[in-house]
Amino acid sequence: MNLQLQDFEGPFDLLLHLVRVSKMDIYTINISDIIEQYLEFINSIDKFDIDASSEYLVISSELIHLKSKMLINKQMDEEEEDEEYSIKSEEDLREKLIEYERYKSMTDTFRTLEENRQDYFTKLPENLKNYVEEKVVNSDVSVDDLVNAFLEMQRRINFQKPITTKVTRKEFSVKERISEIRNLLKSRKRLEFTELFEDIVTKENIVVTFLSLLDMSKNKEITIKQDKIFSTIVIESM
Amino acid sequence: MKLLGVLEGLLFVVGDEGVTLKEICSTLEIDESTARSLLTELKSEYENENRGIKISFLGETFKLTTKKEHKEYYQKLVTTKEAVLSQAQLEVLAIIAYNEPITRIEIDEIRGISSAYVVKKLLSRDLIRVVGKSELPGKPNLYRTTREFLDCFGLSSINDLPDLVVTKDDEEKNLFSKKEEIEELV
Repeated sequence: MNLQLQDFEGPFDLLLHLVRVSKMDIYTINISDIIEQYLEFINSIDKFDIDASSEYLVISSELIHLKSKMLINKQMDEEEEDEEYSIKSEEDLREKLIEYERYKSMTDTFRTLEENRQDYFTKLPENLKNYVEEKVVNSDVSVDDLVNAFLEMQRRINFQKPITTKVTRKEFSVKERISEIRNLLKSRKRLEFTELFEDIVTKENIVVTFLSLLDMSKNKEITIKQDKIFSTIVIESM
Repeated sequence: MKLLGVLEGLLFVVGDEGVTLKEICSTLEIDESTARSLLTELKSEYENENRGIKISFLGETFKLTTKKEHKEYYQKLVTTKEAVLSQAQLEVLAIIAYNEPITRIEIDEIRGISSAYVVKKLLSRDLIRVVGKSELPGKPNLYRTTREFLDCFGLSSINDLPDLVVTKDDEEKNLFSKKEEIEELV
């Protein structure tokens, strides 16, 4: 029989096929025989398309690992668990194959249901767009209203402009910020991370505040806690 | 105005999107028991062999469909056969249907192969939808089947899913629990 990888839906499908071909039951089959056959099959494929079949290779390496483990474990304790491998034991592989077969065997039923459904037809919904009442804009406005609105807007924009603009550059040091945070913690014990950034607008100050926190944490002055991902970060003095 | 006619028109208008019992009630301004009896009345009228349509309850909605026994006539009109679902798509749908809500990683684990492409395909066909995010690391999407999925397989509701094949393990477990029950009785 000449089989191609394309004939299978994945490595589990291939393994199940090998079980079936060997005329054995998944519950009683010798796992190392099946591993042997799987590896043989993978090796026999002449043009191995690495992109299309990387998953087969992953399972290959898992199976090789499992097989070597099975050999060693005959003398050793069974208890050793390998977190890095998804197939943990002979039993595990068996269970995974059984689980996969459960769903695979359902697909025939679904296929039949799908075919039966094509014995009768439905039509697309009617287009009721013409009946949707459009919101009518109150047309009681004139060009003057528009001009006035524009003038009003310009007036407001003028207000927003600062009357005099003076640029001062204030140096903001980590040392200063640390003592600020210290003072805050003296009165409050607990601070939320975001509070510290509330009044800060410049990039420089954000960086300084962040550095201060890191520095204080390093010096074991404060603890920084977060209960779960994306929740509030809480800062407490030690 | 005879409401039976309005109901028939309503079913025509909604087409394959179908209409729920609640929607019938609010559109016709009637209560549920009236809606139910109207549906039964219309249903029995359609049962007459001189009528070409019937009311089906598919994907939790009522909709008008043609009759099965007339299929050979209509199939002459169908030039291309509707695209059927692939083996991979059926596998993924089955896994989602029996385990919903489920993440893509969990589907991959059962199949032993990445299902990313298949999931995308099923999403675009409206057979599955994202219903939220899991609490697992990375907050992956959770998927569920849709009403369209139920309709696609001629199912009224998710309770109509065919029973999942029982494995030997389950049988043993069942036997075990039954034994316990019997022991308790004794």
